[in-house]
Amino acid sequence: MQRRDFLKIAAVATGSAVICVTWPLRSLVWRLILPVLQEAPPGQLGQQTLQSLLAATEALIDYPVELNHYADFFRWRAEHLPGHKALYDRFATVVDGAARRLDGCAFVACNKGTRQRILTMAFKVRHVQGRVSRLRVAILERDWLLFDQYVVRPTMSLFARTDVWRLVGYPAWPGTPRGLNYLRKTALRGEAAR
Amino acid sequence: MSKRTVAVVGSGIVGTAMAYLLTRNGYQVDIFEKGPGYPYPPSTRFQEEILYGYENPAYRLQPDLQNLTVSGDYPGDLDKERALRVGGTATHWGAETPRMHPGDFATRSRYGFGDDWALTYDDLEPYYCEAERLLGVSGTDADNPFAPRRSRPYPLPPFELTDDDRFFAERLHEHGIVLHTTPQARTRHPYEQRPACMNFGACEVCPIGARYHPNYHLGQIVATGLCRLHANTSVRRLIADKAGRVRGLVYQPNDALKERELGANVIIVAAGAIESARLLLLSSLDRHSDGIQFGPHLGQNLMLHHAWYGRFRYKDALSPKSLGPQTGTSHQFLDPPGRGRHGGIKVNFSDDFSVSQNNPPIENAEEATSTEIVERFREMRHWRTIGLQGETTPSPRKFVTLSQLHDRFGDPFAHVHYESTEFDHETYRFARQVFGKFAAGTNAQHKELQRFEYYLSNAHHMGTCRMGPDLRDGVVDRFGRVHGTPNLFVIGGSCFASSGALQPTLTMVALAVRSSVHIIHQAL
Repeated sequence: MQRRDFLKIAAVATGSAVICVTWPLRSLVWRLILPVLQEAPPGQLGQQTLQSLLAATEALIDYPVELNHYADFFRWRAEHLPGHKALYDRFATVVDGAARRLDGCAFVACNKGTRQRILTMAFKVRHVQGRVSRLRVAILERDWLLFDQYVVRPTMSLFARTDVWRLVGYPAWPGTPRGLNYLRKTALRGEAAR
Repeated sequence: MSKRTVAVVGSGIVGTAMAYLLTRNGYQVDIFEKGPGYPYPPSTRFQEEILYGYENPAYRLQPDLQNLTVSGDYPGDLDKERALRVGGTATHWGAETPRMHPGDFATRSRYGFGDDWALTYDDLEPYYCEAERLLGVSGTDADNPFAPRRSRPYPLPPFELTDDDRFFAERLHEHGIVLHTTPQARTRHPYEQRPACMNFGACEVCPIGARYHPNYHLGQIVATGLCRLHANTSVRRLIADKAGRVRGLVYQPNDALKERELGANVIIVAAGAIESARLLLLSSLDRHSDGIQFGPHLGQNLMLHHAWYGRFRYKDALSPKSLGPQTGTSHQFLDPPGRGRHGGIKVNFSDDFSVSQNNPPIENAEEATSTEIVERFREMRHWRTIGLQGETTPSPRKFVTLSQLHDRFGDPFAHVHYESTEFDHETYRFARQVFGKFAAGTNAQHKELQRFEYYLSNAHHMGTCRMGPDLRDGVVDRFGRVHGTPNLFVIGGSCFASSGALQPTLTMVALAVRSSVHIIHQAL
């Protein structure tokens, strides 16, 4: 084998080995760096925290929605799933602090625009690009990474399973006892003009 | 006089039906289920999954108890399709309950492919009636000219076609295609102790029990004291005596250190096509001195219920997912002129639209803004889904064997090898023709159909212990009794000799009823 061929093969082999070793290592490191939900005990949600979560819901969704089932959703999760109550309380504290700094008012009392500005942090940390920026967010914005995962995303998912159905013309959403009159769907016929 | 004792392996729809019928006739039944318990009616599951978006891990087995290995070209997750829990896969089923086509029982003699069953449609017809009564099936054949003969009407009236269905049915009729109602194990009216369907639309976890759930009957028989349910318990092998009968089974609670034995007069294996074959394979291993032999067909002839999904876009808005139950169906292409070169096709063309996370437009909704979500749903109202479910045929390249991986007790897991065949490709080509007819017949603006390689199984797994006249041609006889082992039965999709294109569950329950009657009449 010529020296040049040997070097080519050696370079490819070394590169492959480096990728094989560093790829899983890198994902392991990220897994260790990224924040995880603490195993804090479930518990009843306080009124102030709940109001903050509902104020966030109103800010996230640009349409009028029924807040009752969002309240029910947050209460159930706080009472049944470890870590959620503590995270929700932390969320209320953080957004309240941000609102006071921005507008000098509590999060629930400030206007929708301010609340939306505060919640923009969730989208910023979600879409951050590049290894250095990701590392910075993983270290400095740990709260917001968790708020995005456990408050913002589930709220949008719940919206897609509920209120959006009404917004596009359905009298009720799947998951409610809609009755078999839906076989005739008279309520929808106006929209479904053919 | 001591009671006759039966051990049932698997608490799904088949095992539960048999246990229900046998306890009603005085048998003492022990049911073994590897998976955890499951609530009935599943109102708590409904809350968790539908209202609160929480997938509770308590209803899944640990990977050292459920870890099927798979090779071949099946693109889905065969392991996750199986619900190993009390009630089995029917805890989450769609509940469509058509009868198989008479030709499905004789594909070899009529069409020159696959193999014939050891019984005919006429043999099974009275048991279809009993299975429909047991499950509380709503339906009619009045609008389905392709329905096979029946001796008794459906127990409940049908779920009618929706407005959208009727609109499309009229258009399709002009093109010579019949769209008709779907028989289903879902209560159109109150039935026994089950309320009428209230159209929650989240049928996979129907919170009121309108959709049939095996745990409805299971709860009743456990309450009689004649049935003991062993949840979270793995059956490791069957034990034979020198006379060629099974005398019991070896089991181990999943958290126990030692195995135990249970004696029984009759043993019924009803654990699905994959786990049933695995248990028989484990029982025939040489390392067990009492090993039983099941012949060359054990584990062979695995068949999945191939399905491809497509969708059409229409100019005007429709109302998908107004109704939970399946509505528009066509059985017109089950027995086409080219059958033999390819299989038949069953068409689902209804309002159905899953509300789970895996379906657009809900998919990735958590990443979207509220405006984007609303726009997706507005667009969704212009689309309609079509499901094309195809017949397959056995092949030497479709089988179950034992895996190299072992479970927590040291027993090998099952391994599935599944390679589609040229017959399957031909069936897809036929499905594509049917798809084109529906697109043209309904004046679709735009159409999309999955490619062949994305076929799914509908969680319907068949074959592996097929029915045949003797051990050279099958594992079990026409009553599901293992050839050469008179008190051992394997019942369910595992003993199918052909797949047909229709949902197999009602046929599985009809076979369960027939075998139960046989056991009772033979006083086994």
